[in-house]
Order: sequence, then C-alpha cells, then structure tokens
Amino acid sequence: MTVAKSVFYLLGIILAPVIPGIINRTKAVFSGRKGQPLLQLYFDLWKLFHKKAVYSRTTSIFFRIGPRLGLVAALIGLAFVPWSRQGAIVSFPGDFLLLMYLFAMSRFFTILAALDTGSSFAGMGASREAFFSCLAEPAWFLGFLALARLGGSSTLAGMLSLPSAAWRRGLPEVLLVGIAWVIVYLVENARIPFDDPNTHLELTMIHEVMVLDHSAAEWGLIQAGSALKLMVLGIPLVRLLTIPAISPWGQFAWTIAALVVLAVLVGVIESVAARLRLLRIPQMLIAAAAIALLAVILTFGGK
Amino acid sequence: MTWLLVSLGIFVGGGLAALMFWRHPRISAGLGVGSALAGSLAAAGTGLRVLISGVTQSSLPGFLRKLDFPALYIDQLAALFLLVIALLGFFASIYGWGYFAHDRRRVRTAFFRFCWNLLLAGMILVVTSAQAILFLIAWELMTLASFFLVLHEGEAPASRRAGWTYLIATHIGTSFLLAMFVILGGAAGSLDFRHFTAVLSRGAVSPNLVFVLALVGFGTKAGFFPLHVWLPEAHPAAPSPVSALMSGVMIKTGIYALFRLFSMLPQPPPFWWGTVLIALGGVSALAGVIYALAQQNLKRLLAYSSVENMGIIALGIGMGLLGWSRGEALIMIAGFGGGLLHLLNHSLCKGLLFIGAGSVQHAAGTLSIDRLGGLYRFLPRTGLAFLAGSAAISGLPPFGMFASEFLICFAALKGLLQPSLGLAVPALVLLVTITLTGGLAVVCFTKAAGLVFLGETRDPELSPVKEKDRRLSVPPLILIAGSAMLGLAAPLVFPVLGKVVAAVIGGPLSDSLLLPSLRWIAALMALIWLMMGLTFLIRRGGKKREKSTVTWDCGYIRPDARMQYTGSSFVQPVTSTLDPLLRATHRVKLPQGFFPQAGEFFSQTGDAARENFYQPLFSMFARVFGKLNAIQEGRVQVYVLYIALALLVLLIFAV
Repeated sequence: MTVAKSVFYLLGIILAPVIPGIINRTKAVFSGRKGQPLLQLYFDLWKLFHKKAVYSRTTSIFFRIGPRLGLVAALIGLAFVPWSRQGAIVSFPGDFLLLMYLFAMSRFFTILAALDTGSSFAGMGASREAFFSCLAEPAWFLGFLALARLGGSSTLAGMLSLPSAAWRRGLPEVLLVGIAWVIVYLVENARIPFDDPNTHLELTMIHEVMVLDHSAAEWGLIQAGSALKLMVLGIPLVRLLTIPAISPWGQFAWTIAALVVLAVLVGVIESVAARLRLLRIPQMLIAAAAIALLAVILTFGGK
Repeated sequence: MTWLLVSLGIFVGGGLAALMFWRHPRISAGLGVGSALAGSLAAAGTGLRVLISGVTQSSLPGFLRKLDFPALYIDQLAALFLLVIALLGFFASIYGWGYFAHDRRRVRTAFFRFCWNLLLAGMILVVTSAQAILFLIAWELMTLASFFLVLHEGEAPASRRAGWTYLIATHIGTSFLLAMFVILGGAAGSLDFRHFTAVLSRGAVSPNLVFVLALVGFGTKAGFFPLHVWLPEAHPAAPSPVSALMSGVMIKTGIYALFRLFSMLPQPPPFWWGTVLIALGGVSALAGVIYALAQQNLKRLLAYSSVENMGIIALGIGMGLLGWSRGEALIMIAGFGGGLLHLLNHSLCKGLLFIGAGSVQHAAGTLSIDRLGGLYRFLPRTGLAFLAGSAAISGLPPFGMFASEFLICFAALKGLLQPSLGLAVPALVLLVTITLTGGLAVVCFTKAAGLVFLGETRDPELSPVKEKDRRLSVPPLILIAGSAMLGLAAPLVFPVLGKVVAAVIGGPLSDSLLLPSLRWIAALMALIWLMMGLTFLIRRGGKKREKSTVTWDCGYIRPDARMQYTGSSFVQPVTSTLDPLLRATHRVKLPQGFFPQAGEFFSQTGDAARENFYQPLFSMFARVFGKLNAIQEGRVQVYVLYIALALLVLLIFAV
C-alpha cells in the first residue's frame, strides 16, 4: 500500500502542471480562441530553469527564500492529501493543522519576499494577500472541523473518506462546506472573480504583484508551486463527494478525473464572471466563513 | 537546594558589589554581569537536575535546617520555571552588558546592574518559595526591581507615566493576592503552602473565591486582557534588555502562580474555571493581536503581542482545566502541556524579538515602523534572528511554537469530537479564536519584520549604524536556534512537561496518544529544513548566471524610498475593517487651495480597556475620595477634635 501511495504522490507532482493548462484551455474555448497547448506549463518551466536570473539590488536572502519555501510547502502538503480511501503518506491525528500552517508559512515568506523588493506595488499586493488570507483561513479550518465532527475522525484522510451512511446523514453540512470551500479555493489560488492571474495592471493585482520581481528559476518555482497548490487544495474539495468503493488505482483515477472537472469548472467561472470589486472580497470571505461555521453548528444538533 | 541558595547569594552579592564600585564602570559591569551570568548558570543547573531526576528538593542545607522554616521548595513545576528564568536571564544579561557598554552615566548604569540582579533573584525566589510571606516579599522584590528598571530613562515624561501605570496596576493585582493569602492563611492557621490543600479540601475556604482572587492578582502580572494596561506602557519605556526579561519571563510568573494554585487543589476544579480561562484567553489573544498590528511603535507592537500569547497560553490551560474536571486525561495533558510548551517557546521568541527591537533602536535611533526599513543590510545577524523569530512567534513551522499551538488545538479538537456540548462549544470557541489569531499574527509580524528590516529605509533622515558588538548580535541568534530546536525536539521535551503536569495534578498521566503526532511534526519540520537547504544548494551551481538591477518600478524614472508601502498602509485593510473595535483617532489636513502647502496626517490607536474601563473607574474614585477633602479643614483645633472623636469611638468599641 505504501508503494501505491508513493506512486500516487509522484504521479500527482508530475500531473499538477496540467491543471493550469486545462483551466487556460477552457477559457480559450469559451472565448473562441485556439489557446495554449495543454502542456504549456511544462515548456515554460523548462525554459525558465534555463534562464539567467535578474535580482533587484534592494533584495536580500529573504527574496530568494520566499519562492523556495512556497514550493517546499506545496510538495510536503501534497503528501497530506489522500488519493484513495487507504489514506495519505502523512497521516496522524490533527494533521490538517500542520497542512494549514504549512500554507501559512509559505504565505508568510512570500509576503517577506515581496516586501524585500521595496516596491510599493509589491507592498500593496502583500497587504491585500495578508488580509484576505486572514479571512480565508477560518473558512477552510471550520470546514475541516465540520467534517471531523461528521466522521468522528481527526485525521485528514478520515475526514475526507466519510462512510457513506455518515455522508448521507450529513449531506446538508457537506454541501455548506462545499460552498465555503469553493469560494476559498478561488481566493487561495488567485482566480477570478477574486483575483486575475492574467491581469497586466499592477494596481489591480493581488497575488501576482507580490511575485512580480522574481525571474528565471525562482519564477518557475512559484509557477510550479501554484500548480501544486491547485491540486493540494482541490483534492479535499473533490473528496467531499463520496468516492466509489473500487480499487485504489480506480480511486486515484476517479480523483484525477474529479480534479479535471474542477479545473474545467474554474475555467468556466473565469470565463463567465467578472472580477469583484476589491471591497466585496472580504465580504464574500466572511460569508464563506459564516457558512462553514453554520456547518459546524449543524453537526451539534445530535443525530 | 544548595546551588539555589548559592545563585541567590551571587545575584544579591554581585548586585551590591556592582553598586559599590560605581566609580569604576568596567569593574562594576564585570561584577554585575558576571554575577548575573554565574547566578543564572547555578539556577539553571538546579532546575535541570530537579526536572530530570524528578526528585523534589525541600530541605535547606547545613545549619539553616535547624531553623525549621519551610521556606523554599523546588518541585518539577518550580524547576521548569527556574530553567526558563535562568536561560533567558543568561542571554538577556549578555545583551544588557553590550547594551550599556558605552553608557557614560556611571551611577545610573551601576544602579541598573543592581536592580537587574535583584529582579533575577526576585523571580527565582517567587517560583521557589513555599510560604506566603516569603512569596509576597519575593513578588514585591520582583515588582520594585522591575519598576526601577522601567524608569531607567526616567527623565522622559512618557517613561515616568509608564512607570506609574506599571506600579499602580501591579499593586492593584498584589492587593488581590494579599486578600487571597489572608483568607487562606486565616483558615489554615499557617502561611505554609502545604497547609492550604487541607483548608481547601475541608471546605473552610471556597476554592472559587480563591480562584477569582488569584485570577485577578496573577492575571494582572500575566497581562490578560483587560488587566494588561501596564504592558504596552512599560515595555516601550523600558530599556530593551529589561523588556526582554519582563516579557520573556516575568509575566510568566503569573502563569506559574496559577499552576501552583492548581497543585493545591484537593479535587478537580469546577467546570466553569476552564470556561472562564478560555473566555479570558480568547479575548486576550484576539484583542492582543488586533492592537498589536495597529501599532506604529515596534516595542509597543511586541508588548501587545505578549498579551496575545499569554491569551493563547490561557486557552491551553483553560482546555486543560475542562479536561481535568471532566476526567478526560488526553485533553488535560494536551491542554496543560501545550500551554507550558507555548510558555517556553514564547519566552525564547519574545526575548529575542525585544532584543532585536533594542538593536534597531541602537542602530537607527527610532522605533517608529513607518520611518524604518532596510535594516537587514546594517544588522544582518539581528535581522536574520528577528525575521525568523517573527515567523516563529506567528506559530509557523518549522519552529517550536507550532508544536505548542498544535497541542492546544489538539486538546480542543478532542473536546470538539466529544458528543457532549459542554466540552464541544468551548472547544469550538478556542479553535476559531486560534485560527483568527493565527491569520492576524501573520499580518502583524510580516509588518513588524518585513517593514523594519526589508526594503529600503523610509525616512531619508535616518542613517543606521552597522552592528559590530557581538554581545548584541549573538544572543538573538542563539535564541532563534533554541526556538527551532524546540520544534525538532518536541517529542522529547513534551514528556518532561507531561511529568510537570502530572506532578501538579498529582497522578500519572499517559501522553502515548500524543507522541506519534509530535514525532510526525518533528520529522516534517526536519524535512522542511532539509529541503530548504537543498534548494539553496542547487542554486549554488549557477551563481554566475545572475544579473542585478533595480526593483521593477513600472517604468517610473525616479523611484524613491518614501514611495514604499509603510507599516500603516500595510495593515490599513485590517485596521479599517476593525475600526469599530480599535477606534483609532485620525487627524487629516488635506493640502488645499490653488497653491497647496504641506498636508498632514496623524493617526493613533488607543486602548479600549484603558479608555473605557480604567479611566472612568479611576476618575470615579477620584470623585468619591475627593469628597473626603471636605473634612480636611486646615485648622489644628479641628484635627484635635478628630483625634478625640476617634479615641472616643475606640473606647466605646473596647468596652
């Protein structure tokens, strides 16, 4: 079983850069373009790792720590998420706490790297990112708590593999968690309607403007890290649906298929929605946290 | 025990000697600092020995035994705190040595060394005394010594005001303690701590009353909201080594005393004790971090962050109490143990951050975050420690504080999974508080570290000086290494803390269910360090393939350091959202007219507890007692009449 889990983990790393490709292709189809190849990110990464880096004279070592820790956090985080009912590589009571703090750590050092450039744009992006994540974190966290109470388990794998009876009984809570998590998923991955990864105006950027000064291999690390993040945060979201009781490999294939559907869904949302006003984003996030809190409170109504 | 007495002797003797040789600054510094270091080592040795062997030491050595005075007592709880005090005392003393090395005010520096040693001695005496009178004397010694240390720069009006606030606040707290000990001692007929348990089990004194008095008395020292008002005043005013020692260990004596009280309880406490501590801790944690991120003064920010972390410790203890009263061993040990581990971690981190703030003040001459920036280039060692310490104090891996926050959350998670709502609701409150606090702490400390040390210096008038003195730059590096070690060694440290908890509760406790999680965490933290190192190794290959230029400036021709985001603008989204809570005062003068002159902007965040609770309370006292002025006539005859009347009243009562 450990072998299978390790293989899933490695396949996950290899497949992660396809997800942004799927999102971009969906957007292209929607707007009647031909679009980039699905595997564009692999080419980009290859190119970036062979480029000469440019550093600002203002920056220090912390500018270089940011992208590295971002990738490290995503790589370790991927070991936490279960690809099948058999669980994940890393699994212990309370493991989801470490997963959340890992992403907080990567954010902390990304913000430091942004502030290290001394650019007012980067400062602005860092300020926004820090504020929005403050509000997004409780929604994630409360969702996990609701699932923990539903399944009576304190491991991530246990929460995401609810027995079908418990899942059916707790459907309202699971639905609420799903709504909250979709909002958080879009915010954390810097997607429309909260942020736009393709915008070209610094003033309107949130996440993008923080990493504007990175180049070459480090920029590649950031892109690889955000592709991995789409996967690591996507798996809990798709695993809210009960997974059919098939072989571990079948379950892996099922999860991959679900991630593809999620990526298409994100592409559709990006195509049909406009960006929200900046001031609306905190309101949406507070709403998400409130919905997740509601889910936890519903689990208190003894069953 | 002998070594403890030796260490106390060294502190007092060395302090007095430093004062006596004030005319010779070098000798005075040598005596004062040398004795502080030697005394700390002796105390650390004693603490470590008791902690490892688990043998309580209570008998005095030699002829002192004949006095039959049950004064001192080192059990595992006391030993843990001895170790914390001695550790931070040691490194803060080295830092203090360098901090005042070029101070030409001889008397004042000698007096500083004297008070410093007395503060260390006082704290050690607080955690080892087994008798109420001695405890109160030690408590007062600690308070007065730190009061004079806060007043070190006493000419500044702000410093004087801070000193007064501290003195008054802490004595209000002590008055509650006095009441507590009088009630307990009166019922027991003895002021010996050993006899208090019997009183509480007989029901002669209500444990609830004792708990409330202790909570106010010790909570004032610990800085729980809204008893925290002295912290944000005293810390910025005090010299940095003093802030480090006060925030790093002195406020923890409040937590020590609460644990000491728990160890006297004959049976598990009522359920509401835990609920009260969780409520108090939750408010402290949230209010602390919200006020912290709104501050513009670096040391004031750190002081509020201490309020936050004391709140998190209270949350852990509260969860432990709930587990204790419900007989849930796992919740109890994770809560209490997590609280103690957090205390240990906070002691290291906050010590190092205050030390770093002191070096910032030394180098740049200001603590205003909005004016600073880019200090990493001038203070590389301090900067590295400060930036890493900021990540550590936000509870992020791979540092020790993550392990303690994990344990506290774990206790709550176990409570949340209980079917009974009695435990689940406080647990949910705790978890929501911790996650909110964690997110806000990231905002607060990216501001504190990033805007002070990274980027460019904002105020062109500042000309920071490079760090040269190793006495200033090495202690923070050692402390941050300690914090990282505490994370990696959590599976080894936690069983020791478990034994301390078992000694307090009085019974063996199993931590076997927690250790696997802690081992995973330690292993993953090691993995983070390893992978970090690897990514840098890979880069080494292509060092030539780099180019340096300016930061992307959007094509603007003359970018300026003053165009950077400032601390205030960085936290503006949060502060403007939370303005109903913060009630910051803003004064804006916009540039006006066809030929606009300079505009002006000023904003300041007050403290709700100070403005809405203490000020009305004290002005009410002033009004009420002001009425007594009426009997103050100023004529001798009237006063003689008062004396006669008083005698008459006494006579009537006597008969």
